[in-house]
Amino acid sequence: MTHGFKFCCIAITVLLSLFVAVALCNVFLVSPSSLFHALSDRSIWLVIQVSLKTSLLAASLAVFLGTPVAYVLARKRFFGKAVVETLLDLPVALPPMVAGLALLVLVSPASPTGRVLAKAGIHLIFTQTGIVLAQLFVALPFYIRAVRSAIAAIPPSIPAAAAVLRASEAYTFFHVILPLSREGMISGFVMCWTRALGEFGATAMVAGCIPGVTETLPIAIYTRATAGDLASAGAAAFCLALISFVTLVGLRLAFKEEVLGRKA
Amino acid sequence: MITLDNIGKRFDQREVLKGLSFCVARGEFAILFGPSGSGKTLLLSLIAGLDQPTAGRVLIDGDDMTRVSPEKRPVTLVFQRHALFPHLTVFENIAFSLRARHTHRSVVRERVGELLALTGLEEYAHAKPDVLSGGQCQRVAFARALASDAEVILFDEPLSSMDHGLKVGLMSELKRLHRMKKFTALYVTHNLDEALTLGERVYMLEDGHVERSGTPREMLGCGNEQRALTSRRTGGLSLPNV
Repeated sequence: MTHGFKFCCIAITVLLSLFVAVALCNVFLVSPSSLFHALSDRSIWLVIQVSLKTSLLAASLAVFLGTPVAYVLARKRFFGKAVVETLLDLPVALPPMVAGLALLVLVSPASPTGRVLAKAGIHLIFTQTGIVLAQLFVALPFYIRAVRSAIAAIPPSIPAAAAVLRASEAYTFFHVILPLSREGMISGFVMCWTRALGEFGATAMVAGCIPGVTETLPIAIYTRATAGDLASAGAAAFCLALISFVTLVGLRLAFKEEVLGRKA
Repeated sequence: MITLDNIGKRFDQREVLKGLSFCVARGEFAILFGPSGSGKTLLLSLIAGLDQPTAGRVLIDGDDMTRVSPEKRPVTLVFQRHALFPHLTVFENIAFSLRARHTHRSVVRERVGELLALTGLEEYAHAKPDVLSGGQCQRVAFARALASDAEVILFDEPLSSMDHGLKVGLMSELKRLHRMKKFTALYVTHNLDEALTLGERVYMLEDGHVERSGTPREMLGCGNEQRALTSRRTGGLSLPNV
């Protein structure tokens, strides 16, 4: 009975591993000639450019907006904190299409918010700004979670020591809290950026798929695969995987292995 | 001068400090002595402004500081486990308070240099706290507190994790620093040796209020009965025979 159970567990593990490996091989084992052919097409470089630009901008915005939020959630007690935490976490659990629809309704020219934005000259529908908004909406919670954990891990005596050494809260934030949360910030940035880079549903809903303008790598994979151009879709998928892989390896080397490994 | 006026602190149903009042004179080295859990550390937090009392007032040199934020009080605190900033060097730890108050760079260099010399830490100026011994960390904490220019320095059992030899050395160093800088000190401990060696006045905290107080000589002068009582209350610590 014990042997039978062990055999079943091992068999399921092996079958699942094979399933994942075969599925990924079909996509990533792109022949050099078809990869060269796909990369010689100027449109794929435009897609890569749009993806990198928007996702890096979304991740950078997440750092500016998410760091103070993470600090407040980690260090402050206030009425309704649980509600705020749940709201900020919701995009993680929400299907991206639902998130996209919510954003579309919020910023469409027919909505009051959309009208205010249009008057201010801000156009989000079918624009790269819209892509950044969608990516930020979906990826921000990943950054906040990572940084919040890092700040919460700082012993309370450290900011208390700064306070009794006559440092203002702002000075303590910039000179103590941020340097001590550096690992969490790097880890959060990477998680947020890779999530933004791979974002599909919300981006497609808000920004659509205008080649050369709002076409990102995940959208390019989808449109090319559904058009039957599997070689081109495979090349785009290969590029997406390669960018993520090179960035992760680069960051590991730059910030030492434990920075990303510990948070993983 | 520290004046505690009828200080009370309650956590839900539990009253930890009950109408506690006493004064520490300017420049005095006072000891707050009592068993674990008697509210000594909590009282320091209230004086430093890291926590708020549920009743009473904290006065420093006659000014009511009860609702003043910690960074605006002329008070600093030396923590039990040093609480040094791990990302800063010894020099930067000591300079922290000066830089936080936007002191000129040349003044920072001069003051920190003086304090490094005073605490014998010159050769460790560029070391991070993780390479220092417990005794060296505590000396950095002393120097950092002195750099804050606070009139009052609170000590939360700073020598509790040290071995006897190191403790004796640091106690004499602390006495020397106090003689030189003349700050007002309130030192929390449950160690009788520390209380009687360092203190100019000893306050014994028991059940949330000051049970008795006096000079170390007066405290030592209490009879055998009192000594036995103290021993029981402090979990086995007893007053030395005189």
